[in-house]
Amino acid sequence: MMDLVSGATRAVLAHEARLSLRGIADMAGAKTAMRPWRIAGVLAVVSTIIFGVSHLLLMTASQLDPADPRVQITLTINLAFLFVLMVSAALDSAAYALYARGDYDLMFSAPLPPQTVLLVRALNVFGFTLAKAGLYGAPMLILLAVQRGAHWLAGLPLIVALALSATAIAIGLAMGMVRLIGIRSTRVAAQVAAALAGLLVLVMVQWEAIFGPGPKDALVAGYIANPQSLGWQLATLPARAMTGDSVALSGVVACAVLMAVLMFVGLAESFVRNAVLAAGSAATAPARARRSRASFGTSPMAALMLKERRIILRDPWLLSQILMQCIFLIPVAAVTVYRVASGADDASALVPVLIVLCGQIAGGLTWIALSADEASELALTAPMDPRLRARARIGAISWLAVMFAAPPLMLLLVFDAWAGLVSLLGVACAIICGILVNIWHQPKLARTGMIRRRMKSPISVTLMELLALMMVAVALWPLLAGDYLAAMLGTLLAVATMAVLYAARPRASA
Amino acid sequence: MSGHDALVVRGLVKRFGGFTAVNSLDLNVRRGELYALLGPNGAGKTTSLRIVAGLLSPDAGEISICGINRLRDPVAAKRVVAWLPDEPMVYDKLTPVEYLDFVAGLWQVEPAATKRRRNALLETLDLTRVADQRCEGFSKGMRQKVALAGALIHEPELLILDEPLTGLDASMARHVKELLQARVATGVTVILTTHILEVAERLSDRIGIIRNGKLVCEGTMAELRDGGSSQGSTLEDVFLDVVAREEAA
Repeated sequence: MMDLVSGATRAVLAHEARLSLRGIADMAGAKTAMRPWRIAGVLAVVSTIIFGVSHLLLMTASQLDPADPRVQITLTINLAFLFVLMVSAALDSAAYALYARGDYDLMFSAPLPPQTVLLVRALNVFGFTLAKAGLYGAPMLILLAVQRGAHWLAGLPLIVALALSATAIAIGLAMGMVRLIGIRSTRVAAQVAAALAGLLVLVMVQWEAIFGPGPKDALVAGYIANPQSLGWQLATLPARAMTGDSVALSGVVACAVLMAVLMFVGLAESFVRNAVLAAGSAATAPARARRSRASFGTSPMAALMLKERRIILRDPWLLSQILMQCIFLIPVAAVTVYRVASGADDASALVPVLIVLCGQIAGGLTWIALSADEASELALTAPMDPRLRARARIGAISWLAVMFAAPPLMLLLVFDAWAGLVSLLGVACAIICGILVNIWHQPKLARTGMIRRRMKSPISVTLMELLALMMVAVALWPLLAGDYLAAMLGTLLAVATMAVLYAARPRASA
Repeated sequence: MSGHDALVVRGLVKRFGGFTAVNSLDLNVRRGELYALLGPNGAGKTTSLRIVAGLLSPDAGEISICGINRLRDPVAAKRVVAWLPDEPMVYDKLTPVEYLDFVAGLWQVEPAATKRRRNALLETLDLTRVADQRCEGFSKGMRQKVALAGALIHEPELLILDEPLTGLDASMARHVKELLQARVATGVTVILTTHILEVAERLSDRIGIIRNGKLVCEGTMAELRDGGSSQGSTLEDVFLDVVAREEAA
């Protein structure tokens, strides 16, 4: 055990912390090492915003009496959602931190016990999971403590305990998946599973908006009927811990510590075995590609377009990240479709959702085309006009984005022809805007193994993409109501936004 | 500028901020010769060749490739050039067959010629058995061979190779050297950079030594031996002598 807290462990921990800070800096779009005071500044701004939003939410909230069964059930449901989200985030981090880092040759050739590496990686996953949950949860809890009583501070250790449990479960799940489906598939599957968990939570959050308060009322009634039953006692344990029940809090913390110890003791050997496999996974037999009848042809444009399409469609890791980005829009679409079908809204409510969804897909595909091009210099040395290269890229990506957009567009055309036509125009504009914003602003990356969009694509580019797509939606929305003047003004605004984004693009240094 | 030379470079300058990577470089490479461009790390070899290949724009100077002005007509110039960097430009998700078809498409090679040349190159470079496997699991040597096949499929008149033997095993390195010599025998011009001086000494018709972005010494092996103060008989001796003299100057 002493080895685990040795100087070497501290060195590896410091290394992990440095890499994590660089990861945050990457997401912020920093080109050079981000200084701690800048990171602190960014965090301060984000925290202030979250405090503000939390304060607004609390202003509208009614009295939160811990003895009220409805409060207990509401807290239980929300904590369950939070925990599912924590496990999904931890699973994604675990698959990456445990098996996709590619530095095990260095780690295992260093004079370190392998358990140290597992401990450090587990702390990394725990840190990320806690930071994500704490960033959103802590401000709300602190405000609750200030405004409604100090007992709400018990929520802070509760979040730590939940993050620890989520880490232990996620690492266990990641290792189990490696045993079942192998390392390569685990990386993709963990990411997809994480996205599906997030999707499930988002759908559940919308449940009351769709089906009304009935299901929750039934739960409250069940709890009131027999609050002392073992099932309800266990189910409401985190909620009671959050409202200051010290026995419940001790129980949750003890469970979390027990799970973490069991994970560490029980899985260390398996981790080392799998990690050694992961280190050599790049050297496994290459996949045999199905012979395709599609020819690269004799036109450079056709060759480039086919190459882009083939590379994108053959990379499930990159493709899953794009689908994941879009998956969070599905609950919004589902609610809108439900409301349209039930007559609460008309079909036009779907148009902005479709525009943003298709633009995001096009933007994501552009990011793939830019970052997945391991041999971008090859096309630069080819005898072709540079404008042709850009056109080929846009052509290939548009084609794929149109494939995603076609089914909902056709449905919309059947339900409401005018809304369908406006959507068609909006989707075309959104695809072009999504592609252009990424071409102008997305930094070109050296493709090294399994890059992750959320880790490598600056948040600023995502925000710019979203801004451009919202402008397209704003421009086309009035058309549905026949307000052509507003549509023209919106179009001018959208064009001006794109012009500003074009002018603000970084200049090439070559 | 002479239309007979494969490459003529005059007064080439490239700056990165305050650093001058290529400093008024003049260079002539004749058609059908194998020219080795040598120099210490950071001398400006790769930057110069990347400018010739059309990957960088120069700040000043002129470049003529087989009589075509590279700056005025870059597309025509690129048609006769192939560039092979030290890190192979290969797509993980494509197979060697697809990669070669793709490169042939970029250079607008006729499909019948593509198929014929592709099969011959796969055979020559011992890639036939992996022709339908994706490149993602290939070793660096294998990737280098795929990239070399890509550079040759459009039958360039000028082949520029940056450290072409990196990652190849001894037998494949010999094979590639023979392949390059065979291409030179058919009139193709090859310019290569290498840190393996024995390779340059044995393969090249002429050698140029570049330092601080300038050509400081050029000639056949015999001319280099005669021209320098070095009493040594190997290229390594000549190279180290030239670099030491330039450092002292």
